[in-house]
Amino acid sequence: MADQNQSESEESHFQITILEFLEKLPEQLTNRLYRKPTSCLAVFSGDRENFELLNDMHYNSTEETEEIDDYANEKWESVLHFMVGTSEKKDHPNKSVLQLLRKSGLVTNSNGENQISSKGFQFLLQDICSQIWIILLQYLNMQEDGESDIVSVLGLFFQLGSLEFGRKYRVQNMTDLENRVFKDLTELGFIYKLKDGSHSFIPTRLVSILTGASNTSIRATIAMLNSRNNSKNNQNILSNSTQYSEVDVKDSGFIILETNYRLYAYTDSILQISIMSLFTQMVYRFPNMVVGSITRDSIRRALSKGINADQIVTYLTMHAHPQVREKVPPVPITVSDQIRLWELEKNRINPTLSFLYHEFNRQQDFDTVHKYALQLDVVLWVDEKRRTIVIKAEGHEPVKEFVKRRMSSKSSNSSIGNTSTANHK
Amino acid sequence: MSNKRPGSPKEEFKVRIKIKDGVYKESLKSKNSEQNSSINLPNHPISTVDPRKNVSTPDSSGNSNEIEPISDPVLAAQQDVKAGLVPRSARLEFFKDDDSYDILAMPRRDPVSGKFGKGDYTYLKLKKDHSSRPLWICPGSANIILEAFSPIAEQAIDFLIAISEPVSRPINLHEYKLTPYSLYAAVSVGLETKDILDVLNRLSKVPIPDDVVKAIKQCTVSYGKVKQVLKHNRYFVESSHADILQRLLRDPIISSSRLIEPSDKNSTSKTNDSSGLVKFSAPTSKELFIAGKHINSIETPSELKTDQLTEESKISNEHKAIDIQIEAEMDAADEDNEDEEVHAFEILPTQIEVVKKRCNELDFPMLEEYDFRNDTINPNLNIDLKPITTIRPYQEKSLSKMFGNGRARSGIIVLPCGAGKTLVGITAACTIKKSVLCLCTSSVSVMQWKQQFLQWSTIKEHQIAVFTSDQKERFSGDAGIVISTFSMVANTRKRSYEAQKMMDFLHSREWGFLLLDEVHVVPANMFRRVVTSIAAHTKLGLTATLVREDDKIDDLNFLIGPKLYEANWIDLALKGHIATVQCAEVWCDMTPEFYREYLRETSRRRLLLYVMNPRKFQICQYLIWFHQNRGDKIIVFVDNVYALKAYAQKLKLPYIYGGTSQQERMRILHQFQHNPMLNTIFLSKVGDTSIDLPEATCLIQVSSHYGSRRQEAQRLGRILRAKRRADIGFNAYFYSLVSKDTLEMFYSTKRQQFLVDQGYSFKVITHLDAMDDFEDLIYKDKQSQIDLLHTVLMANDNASTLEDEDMMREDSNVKNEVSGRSKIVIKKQGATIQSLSGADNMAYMEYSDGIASRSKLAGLSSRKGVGSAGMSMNKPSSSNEERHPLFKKQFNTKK
Repeated sequence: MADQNQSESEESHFQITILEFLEKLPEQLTNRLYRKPTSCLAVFSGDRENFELLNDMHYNSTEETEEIDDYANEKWESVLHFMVGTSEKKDHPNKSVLQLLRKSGLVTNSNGENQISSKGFQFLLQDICSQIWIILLQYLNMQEDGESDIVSVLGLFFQLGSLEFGRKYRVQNMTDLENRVFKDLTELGFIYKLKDGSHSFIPTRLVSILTGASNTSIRATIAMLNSRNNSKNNQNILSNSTQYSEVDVKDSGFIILETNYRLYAYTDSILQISIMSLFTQMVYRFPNMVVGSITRDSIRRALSKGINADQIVTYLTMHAHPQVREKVPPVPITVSDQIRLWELEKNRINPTLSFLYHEFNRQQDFDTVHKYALQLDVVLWVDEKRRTIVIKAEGHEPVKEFVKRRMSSKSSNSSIGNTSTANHK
Repeated sequence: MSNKRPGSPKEEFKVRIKIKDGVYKESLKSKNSEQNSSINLPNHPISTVDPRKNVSTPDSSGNSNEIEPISDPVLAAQQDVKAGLVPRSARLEFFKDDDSYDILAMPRRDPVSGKFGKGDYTYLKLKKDHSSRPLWICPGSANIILEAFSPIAEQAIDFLIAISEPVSRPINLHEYKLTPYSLYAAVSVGLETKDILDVLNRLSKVPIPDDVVKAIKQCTVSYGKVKQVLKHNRYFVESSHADILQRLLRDPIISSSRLIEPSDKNSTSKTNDSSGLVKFSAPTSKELFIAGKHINSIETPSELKTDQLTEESKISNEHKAIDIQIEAEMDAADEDNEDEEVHAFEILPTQIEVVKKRCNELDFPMLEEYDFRNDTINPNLNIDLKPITTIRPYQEKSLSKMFGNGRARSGIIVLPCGAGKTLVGITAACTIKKSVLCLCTSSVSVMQWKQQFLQWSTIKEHQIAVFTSDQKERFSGDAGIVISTFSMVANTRKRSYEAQKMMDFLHSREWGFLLLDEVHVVPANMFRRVVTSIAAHTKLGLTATLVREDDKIDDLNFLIGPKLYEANWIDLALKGHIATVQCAEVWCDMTPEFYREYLRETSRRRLLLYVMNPRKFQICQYLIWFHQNRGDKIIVFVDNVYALKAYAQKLKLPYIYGGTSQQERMRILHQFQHNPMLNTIFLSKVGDTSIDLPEATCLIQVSSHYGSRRQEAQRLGRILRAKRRADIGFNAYFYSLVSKDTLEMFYSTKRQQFLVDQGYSFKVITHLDAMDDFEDLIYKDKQSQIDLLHTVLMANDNASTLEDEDMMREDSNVKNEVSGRSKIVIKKQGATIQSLSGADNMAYMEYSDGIASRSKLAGLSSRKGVGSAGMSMNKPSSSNEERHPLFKKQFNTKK
């Protein structure tokens, strides 16, 4: 995002980001936008002003911004935590966010339990910027399903994007829809509502990603989110910068994976630990490090959730500790190979759509059908003793016809089952 | 007594009593008089020795460890004698798993705590400067995790090797584990409880957890305090703590074994204190010169040195201080007692075993030390290393552990194959300079040892005697070296006249040094017989892998001594001492025909099917072709003799198995070494150990012994000493061929575990692309594959049993001398031969024990007929000794 030159004007940043954003929008959505040039214009020109700058007061002091950062971070993380299944009930995101996660397929629902999906794991592998974009796009998608006026939602996004972090604004003349979107964004941590009862609010740092206002502010946001992850429990790790181990951890990797499938991760981030525990059997945990083992079972557990081997390897590579980062690749080849092999293990069954014919009354009937099917070359499997035959899907119609014809001529009765059999590779 | 179980948090602890009907009853006992409980045995007749671990006890007294409360102290003591070959506490689980830890009591701090179960140690507070310290210590399991990339890792590793067992040692993070054995070993090389705790604490990022502190104290408080010293041919029990000796003397058995000389006017004893204990000055390593060691600068007295360093550490940065401190303490450990006096009492030489056992029971296991420089009775052997011989740093390090205080300690040194174990043994012999008895596993290695002795040391040929079935020599002069095999010495059956005379000679004299090669392969009871029947002052065990599938490894710790040193394989490879090896596991698809049969067959024949899988044939052929073209010398291992022959004959290559005659073997090995046209040989299990082929650079394993980690490591060892290892970029190759979707996959993973923990990684090869272009591939068409399948299915049932061929030749020789009753030894090796002749079936296994033994007798009478002329090819055809491998173990343990 926003790889532009710093020298370019604030305006051009904004516009380019919008273009990128628009490119990412699903086609039918943009079509709808372009079909209504007036509203489109309205979006970009920003002629409607929903937010009023209250006063010139800047929230610049650390205590104040920290509170806002905390809030944004907590909200955002609660979404991620929910996805990996580590959030307490009371910390669950609200209904509309849940709906968003489910509809977007980031989370699937199996047996009444919310489980992370392959898509969701992929989502977790992304950096925070992309994550926010993905969420917002999904949000727009969801609005479309709900017949709401997507244009005004988009408009609200852009208006928000133009706001400045650390300033106080007030909401004015919003439609119901806009009110709802506004509430959802609050829930996602984009907006910090002041608790004084007024309708005033302060946009959080997340908003800056929305528009890609500038590289520095994005970086500040990312730093904010990352550092929170790592330092919540142990302030002393950061305060104590020393030679070799944990120093670089916070903005680089933390995982050392050994050839004996042991995973050592220098982190205390609950989120990271729970992500790792999706595919690792955790063993020990120290204040600044966790130890786990990658086993066939743990990988299979992850695979069964739809997470694929490449995603796991990517995650491990992305977060490799500086100590192993120099090596190519940082994840031992044997381990990454093995993870992929474990995945392949699952794909050894080839489904072939086919039909089961059984309970032939007489051997003779069976033999004729068998013979006929052989002629057509549609026999997948046959057991003569039990008078059972499996016919490939493409042969089903002719064989069925054939059986019917015979049945009508003689009163043989053979039942036809429907099945999908498996072929050993 | 062992009823103080380590790690117990409460003042009360549970004692398990076995009631007669085999039900365990838990009873609570208050922990009174913890100190005295070890001595006043009669007051605490209840033992808590885990019955599962009671391996050393003969079957007849199998229950002796689950003693019912006995009021009669004498009876209780007797029962303990039966059991006591090892100290009590060593038999215990180090830490209890459950009792000490109540998971529900722990606060659930955050959502992920649950994923770690008991392993969540976030409550441990990190030290402020934790990042400069390299290790974490887990409470409960006493696992230690080490950052091997830390600047002070090397010192830390030295220290950890001394006090703990290495669990895994890949590149970046190592894991170690504290066990009672490892702590016993630590104490025996001179480390004291305080040293261990201090250094550990200094290295650790977190404070040492309380239960670990407690366990360390518990395991070290009594260990190593008492030593058995042989001085001037008198046995002394020595300790620097007089009170411990007093306590031991209060024991009736020990005091009755004591040798009391009313007028003790021995010149070495300085004073006699009131209790009659003799005082000596503590041993020092001064003036001792380990042969081949590079002379160091004269060391300052350790006390002073340590003091200075503590001063320094305050000034210099923490980091360096830790570093130096550790080194100092490691060095100092040996010399700590320098100015102290030690106390001792003498015991009757005949009672030495009894006292030793008794001390183990009292939980004061004796360390054996040999003051060889003061031994004037046993004649010196004129032996030294040749001036050109140099020893490597790690060899020196291992020897310095052995001779740390100027005396020779008994123990085990673990070095990977090819890292020069032999030289370590020879150097030790050159340092002690007394008569040496050297035992190895096969007559081939006997010859190799002899040759090595001549090569590295100044010993004359007439001073070395070889005692095998072929040769029964004696050395000339009053001191010398005898090299023999375990089976020769352990044999308890009647021997030929010559052999008996030789045995009498071995038993009759005292040996300064008993050198035991490949200790891990010897069956435990054979071992025990050797160790107890030979009077040796020092015992040194050499091995590459201290793993056994049968847990008997623990026995070695007490039969020989603690592990003195264990080298890091990868480290040695990186430094170029052993070859770097690329390991690969090649998956061979089963052809559909073979797989169908595989699914149908019983487990026994399955083995043959997955070994004879035509794809495996092809891959084997291709790999041989490929590596021959690269100029490699290749060894192919096939455990199964039927398959071995099939492979070798199909590929038209020579093979060696247990039945190959000595001349034939030598001829093949010679050809392999010197003939550029012969680059590949096939070996059965006989090649696992001791066959020294430095030319080999590539190894293909076609079939193997189930999940034996040891065999895998041993086989890898065959190529570690590759001649070309020093070449830049040289790699040796190790392939393990595995038939896909069969049991082999499972075994293969198991087998690799040891090497994987050593830091080796096995790359899985699922498909050899270039192979399809290879023109001369065998079994290319379906018909030949099916023909092969038929041959396999026709093969005798016995072809599928894995042969136990180790040492077969030697034992068949031993057997030839046999005219008496059978012993376990025979049973074990007998299996091979009969199954080769195909004369047996295994139905007898279903018979009751009584029938089995009767039929065994019958079988033996038939064996009598076999004369001594028939060597290996002349097989007794008795069927009764045949055992299915799965039952073999069960049977052997029973006897």
